[in-house]
Amino acid sequence: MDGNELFGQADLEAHTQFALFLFHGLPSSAQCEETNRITLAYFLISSLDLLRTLPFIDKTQIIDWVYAHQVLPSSRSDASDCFNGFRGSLFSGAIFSPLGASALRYDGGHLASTYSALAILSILGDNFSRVQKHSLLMSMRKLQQHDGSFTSTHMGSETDLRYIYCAVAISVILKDWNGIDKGNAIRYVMSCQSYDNGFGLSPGLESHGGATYCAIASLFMLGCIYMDPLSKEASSTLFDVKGVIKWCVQRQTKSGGYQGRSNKDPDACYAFWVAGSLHLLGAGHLCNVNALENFLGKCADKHGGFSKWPGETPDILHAYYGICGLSLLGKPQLKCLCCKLGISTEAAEKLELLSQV
Amino acid sequence: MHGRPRVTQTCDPARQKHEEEKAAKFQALLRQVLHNHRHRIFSKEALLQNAKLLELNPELYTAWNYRKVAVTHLLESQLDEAIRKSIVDNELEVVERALMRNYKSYGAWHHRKWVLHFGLSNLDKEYRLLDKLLTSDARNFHGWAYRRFLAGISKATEEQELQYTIKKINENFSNYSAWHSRSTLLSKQLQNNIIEKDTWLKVLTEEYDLVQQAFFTEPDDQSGWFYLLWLLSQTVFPSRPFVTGFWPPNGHSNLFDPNVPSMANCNILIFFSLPVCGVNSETVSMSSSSEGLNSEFKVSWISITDDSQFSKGWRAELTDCNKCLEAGMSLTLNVQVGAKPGITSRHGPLLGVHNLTVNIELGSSSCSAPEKHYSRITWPEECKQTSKFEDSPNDIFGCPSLPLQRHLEPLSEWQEKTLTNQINTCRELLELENDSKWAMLMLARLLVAYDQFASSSEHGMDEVQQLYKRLLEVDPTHQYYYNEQLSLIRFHQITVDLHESSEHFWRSDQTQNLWVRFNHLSLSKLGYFERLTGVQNLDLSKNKLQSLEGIEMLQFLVNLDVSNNHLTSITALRPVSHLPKLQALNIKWNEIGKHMIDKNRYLFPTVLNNSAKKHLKNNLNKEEGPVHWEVYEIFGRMLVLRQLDIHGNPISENEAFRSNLLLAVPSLVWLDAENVSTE
Repeated sequence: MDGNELFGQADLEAHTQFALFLFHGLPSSAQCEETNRITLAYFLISSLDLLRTLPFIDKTQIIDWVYAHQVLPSSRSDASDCFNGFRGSLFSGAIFSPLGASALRYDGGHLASTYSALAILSILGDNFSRVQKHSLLMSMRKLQQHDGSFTSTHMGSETDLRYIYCAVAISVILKDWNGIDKGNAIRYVMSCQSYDNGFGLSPGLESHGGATYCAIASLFMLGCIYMDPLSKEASSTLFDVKGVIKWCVQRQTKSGGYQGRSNKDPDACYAFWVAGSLHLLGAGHLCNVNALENFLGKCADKHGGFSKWPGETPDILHAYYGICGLSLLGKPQLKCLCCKLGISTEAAEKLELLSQV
Repeated sequence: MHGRPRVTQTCDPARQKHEEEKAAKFQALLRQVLHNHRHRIFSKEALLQNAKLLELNPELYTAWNYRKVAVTHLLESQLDEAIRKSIVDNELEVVERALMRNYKSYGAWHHRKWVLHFGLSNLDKEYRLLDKLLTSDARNFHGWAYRRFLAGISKATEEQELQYTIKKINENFSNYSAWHSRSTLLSKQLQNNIIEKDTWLKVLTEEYDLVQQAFFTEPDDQSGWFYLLWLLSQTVFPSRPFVTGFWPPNGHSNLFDPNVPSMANCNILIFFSLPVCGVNSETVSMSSSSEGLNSEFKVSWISITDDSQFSKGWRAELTDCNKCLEAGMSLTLNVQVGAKPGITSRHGPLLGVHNLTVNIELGSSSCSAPEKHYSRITWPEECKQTSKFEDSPNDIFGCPSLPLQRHLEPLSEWQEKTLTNQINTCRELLELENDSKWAMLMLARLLVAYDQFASSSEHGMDEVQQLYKRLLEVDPTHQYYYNEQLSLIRFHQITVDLHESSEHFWRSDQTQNLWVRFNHLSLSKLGYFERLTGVQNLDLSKNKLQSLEGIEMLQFLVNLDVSNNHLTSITALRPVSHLPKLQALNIKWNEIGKHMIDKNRYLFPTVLNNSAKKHLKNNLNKEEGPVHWEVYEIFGRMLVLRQLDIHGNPISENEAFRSNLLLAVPSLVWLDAENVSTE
């Protein structure tokens, strides 16, 4: 492998340039993602961290920018149900303040944005001193539904495994489980398992790579999967781990890439969702790394970034999960990825040691 | 932005101006809509502006929520049924336009479901629209989710929905979504007792016929095969757990040594056929024949794996036995398992009741020998002379072999027939399609499943082996998985008659140690550890092991050689850290330190011991290089380890690693050839 590697130093530099370029300005094709601006920022910052090029950006400035998205508690009566997490962007007109701004009417935090914001802060080594933890978690609890699932905002939304994962990861990052009814959340996750052992996004839906990752990572962090980490396959009281492993293994297609569902084309981002799930379950060695590297090589753009399929235009999401894929392949130039939290292991280790906020 | 064809963009000033104007218009519209939202303006014009905005960007969930507030408001003040209906219909149109922009928009689909809850819409029209979508994109999962939703509110019967799945399956056998939907509908019917248990067998038989058509038509398609796996899981159920063995065996003695850590001391072990929970001093009763002694010693039941709840092996740690024992005296314990309920696997409670009598005597074991007297052992590979050992295998296993119990519930006539039918079908298909990966994989799995129940096994296993070898050729992408399966079969064949053959038993002439040797066999995965219980010296060198999963079942191991394998991290030794009596470990020439590993599987939730935590804390901010906290986590648990051979791994060159190792394992006397004892 050494010597004629697919991903050499020059390629990695191109990926860094790609992330830096987008960091300084988004193309018009990203306009639909306005409400998810902070998630795009997470993709880019985590990319730079994994590529060991984080020093290229101004940390203090970004930390202030992230905090500006915090929805501070308000005494207004119509804000009593408001989720005091983080907004996805300042599109609703909140003023810019490095502490955050209280909710306008019909303004509020979003679970995915909150996860992204806290992930960025973890990566940048912030100590969460400005996070209004209590009101964040108390208001998050109100997002949980009777069936255990979460809506993404207090104004309602669809509910599925993505938001369970966000709520769980938020609790882990803030080291406080008061924002979630764990038992109920676990029941919801398990109700999403399909007959082929994979997980669907909500009960009764077809198995899906992204949903399976959300389920496995959440169950791990909820303490439902016991294991000898890395030394053996995980075991769980709740489900047949070997069955999930079998499902994930068969998602790797002839081209080497992973598909998200049976009979679908492989897609670069499932290098993270599916291979990452295998890693979590202690079965990372069942991934055919050479084949996956080949596939990712075809999805990589010569000017940096990854696309969903070979030959397409690269985009931020696939660029990020492509980099995660490279990290999972064990490329020593990259930092190691903490699959559970979606940040580098270095950032995660720091998080582990942070004294209670 | 997914999957759009690539367009080369050039910098055109006119175009740029146009883009800028577009952006300004969008911003103005957004501000207007938010203004309307804030001031609760629900005029026709306001709703139009909002619709326009959503058409441009269906991801603006605030805009969808505005519509919900507006529609609720408008409906509240409106009694005319026709107008109410038109308000709702208008919403469906807005959603449709948004879906045309992005048919994967979660917010748009959610809004559509919300609108239907008013019960003012024509559901037939919804079904027609949906059918159009699922005709153009048969796997759209938003579409399938919407179908389930519609079925719910229109109170469609499962039978109607099953008909729809058949329609989609007949259009295209590869429609995995339709097969999946079918399985959930049938399961629901069974759960709600719409299908009675007797009819269920008939239904299953029909389903077997259906899926057979699918894979005979398209043998390379996985949809039908996964459906078949589900059918099989409805046909043959996992058995209930049972006790496979005890240690010490009934009527035998065990030594209690007050100078030994409790995990390595006088213990009683129970092994089960499946991981079980609920093993504790209430479910396992222990009484002593000698009156008055019961209260003196303490018993705690520990799972011998990390999994504190479900485990195949449980160890009773006895403490304070010396308070009720004097040298030369013995204590007789009557142990009873299964009389009281509470021990269960994931599939059901324990079968049967077992009684065991054990004698406990005071004595001293080899683990308590002072460290300075420990002399370095020679590994079998290094021995100038080893010879086959052909005496009683009891010496190898330390005591009479465990009676291995095997009492699975036998298959019913229908189950037997179904399994045989499916085996024959796969064979037929393979005659037509020699290279069908899925047929081979299914046949292999069926044969392995069948073998568990067959009274005389074995002949099927050669066929399974051939199948996996063929799979390696036709489907190299999944070679690691197939190799593991092959390794398991190989290990099964080697160990099935272990006690009867002496092929793997060796005596090292220098030390007189008796070894079980499975070296140089290309093994990549191990299993069947219950057949090896009691082994004290095990040689697994020169294989392809990446994992030592399950080896913690060998609670009597004293010396273990896993040199020349593919272990990639210290964390791979975790199962070894559960071996209470392990004194010498050989991990030379593995790949430890060569690869990056996500060690954080330990964290969130933390399972670290205190010394690992402390080390992590002290070093995280100082060191630039990797932090070796896993050394404390793994080796810190090996309380009686005297000898560690680690040469030939990239990590063994690392000074920080070596010094941490010595701190983590104070009992260590030999690190490679170096005597590291402090005395």
